[in-house]
Amino acid sequence: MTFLGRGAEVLVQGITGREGAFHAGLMKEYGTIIRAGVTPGKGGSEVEGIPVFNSVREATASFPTVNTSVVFVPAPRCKEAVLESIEGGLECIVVITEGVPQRDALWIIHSAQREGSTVIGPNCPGVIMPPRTKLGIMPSGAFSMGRIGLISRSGTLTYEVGDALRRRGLGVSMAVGIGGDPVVGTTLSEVARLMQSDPLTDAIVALGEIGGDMEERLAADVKEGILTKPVVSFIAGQTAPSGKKMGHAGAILQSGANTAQGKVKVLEDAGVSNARNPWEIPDILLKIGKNV
Amino acid sequence: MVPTRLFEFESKVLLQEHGIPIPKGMVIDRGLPQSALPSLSFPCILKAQVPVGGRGKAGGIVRVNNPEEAKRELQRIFSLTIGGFPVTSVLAEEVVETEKELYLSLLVDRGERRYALMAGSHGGVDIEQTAREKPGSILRIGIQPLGGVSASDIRALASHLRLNEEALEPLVRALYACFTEEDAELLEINPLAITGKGLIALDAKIVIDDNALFRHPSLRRLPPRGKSPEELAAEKAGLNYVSLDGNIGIVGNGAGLTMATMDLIKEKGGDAANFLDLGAGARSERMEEAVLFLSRNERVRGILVNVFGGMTRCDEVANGIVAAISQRRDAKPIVVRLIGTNQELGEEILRDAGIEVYDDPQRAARKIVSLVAGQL
Repeated sequence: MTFLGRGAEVLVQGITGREGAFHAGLMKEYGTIIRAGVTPGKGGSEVEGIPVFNSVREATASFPTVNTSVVFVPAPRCKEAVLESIEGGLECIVVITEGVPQRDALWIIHSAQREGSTVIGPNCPGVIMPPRTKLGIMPSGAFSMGRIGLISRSGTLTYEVGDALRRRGLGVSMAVGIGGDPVVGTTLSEVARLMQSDPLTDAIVALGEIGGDMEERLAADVKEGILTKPVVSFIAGQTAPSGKKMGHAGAILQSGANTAQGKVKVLEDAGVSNARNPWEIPDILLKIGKNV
Repeated sequence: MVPTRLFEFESKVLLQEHGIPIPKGMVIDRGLPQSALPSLSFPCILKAQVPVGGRGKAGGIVRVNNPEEAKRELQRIFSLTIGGFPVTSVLAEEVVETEKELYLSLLVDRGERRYALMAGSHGGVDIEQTAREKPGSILRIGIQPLGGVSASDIRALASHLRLNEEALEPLVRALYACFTEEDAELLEINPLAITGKGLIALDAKIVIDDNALFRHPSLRRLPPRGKSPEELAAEKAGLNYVSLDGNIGIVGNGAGLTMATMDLIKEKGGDAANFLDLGAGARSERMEEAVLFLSRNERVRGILVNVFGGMTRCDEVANGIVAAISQRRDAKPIVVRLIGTNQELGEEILRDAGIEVYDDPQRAARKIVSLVAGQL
């Protein structure tokens, strides 16, 4: 993974839709460099002063420095839209769209890996790097600039914790909502490794939840010394009923993983400070003593 | 969203459409067991159709040898409730003589972000135990989504199951086609029988990815299942709802925040009655419906609303709460924690209506826990 948002020159796919237009405006207002929008059949028009093209190819022909796409295209046509950006050689593609079928997500993720693009999402709030880059839909007022890297599987919890940090005088170098779907383009561990090598990040906050094994993989990174910056975690769903069991197959494939209690234990064993609730996180960070 | 788990007979119809052999059978509905009797040939197996495992142990699967037995057993099976699901249909199938029973499944491997094909040479209900005790007995092959099942995958599978590749290849290709084209998250055949007439899927379980239902109109029409009546009513009202055992109703926005709020209630000594996620950008009508929905629930003794306004605006949330309170007949305490977009407007609306509002969720949680405890 090369970069996430620093130096982003952005294309918004699905810019003429309700969400696309609204958030393109907000991203631009925040200071993000938005060069173009894409909606098939709407080429030649303008949204929030941003020129609209029929295809990614046309847009990048006019703006060859574009390196990032933020995608709002509805689920049924999302895969085709993302593949256009991957084929167009964009480095980073942030997929906001919710309801993308897993088969399409897997196709997107593997196509991106083959071509060397980074995909964030789907079903994610995106990436924010205060003070002026936002690739997504987060309420920018919740985040101030600082030296904490925030990664989250949940949208609103990203805002909650960003805001809780802000209220205590802490800020973020970047906040990345990786998306809540079972398979996403970039995992907790992958973003954390990026933050490990980021000179603007001193400590990492990871917000996980029940299901999957992303938190276990993050813990392994800490244990193996790949992540040496302090890591603080919170796992949502301590009191959630265990999810629908995926037949014998799921039980055989992922024996032991998935529960909130299991994740907390693995993280604590690896040396991660786990918060009992998200609102405790600023205190824990202040205690660790970084970024004051 | 809860994935759509198909009944065995629905799964088998999909398998058959993709060319995978299944036993001959027919579906009998609870309403019409008598009319099905003349069409049965004996002996046959009667199998209760419920979207949960453990049917055999619950008495939901039985072999019958004549019409009298069939009549009696149908009556018995239709009176069963298995894993909370009343039996509404029964699959009657021919008896298949098997030489050996295998295990075969395809699923999405979340951790590895690809598909996984798993196979065992001893299928049956004890497959999980077999996998634990003899991990080597289950072969796991990672399938790359862009490439699909390769020739070497088939070779490895054939050697593990001691079958010849020619017999196995068409079946595995058909299974993979069924799995991907139907947008399944899980396709499990347990057991897959080796018979004199070739390989036959004796039991099948398919779970469909709900996000993909837009391209499967026939699956979209299936009645919902695996949900409680309360959950169905919530779904009808457009709310993302799961019922729990406690007595404090929870309304949050976003799944993560709502779960964290449930956890917070527990931490402060209470128990959540539910998970209710308003979703992104909720308007006042949805908030109003959420509060009314929880107010109608007798188990709920108090309500905690915990909203972080991003796309959702605090004034919309506040208006929804006030509208709900003016309509409801009960006096359950409501505690509101509300911050974010249009926070001041929201606070003003709530204060004017005499509702206390917090910006610290920990204080709000302590408050509702003590109010509810005080009533008991």
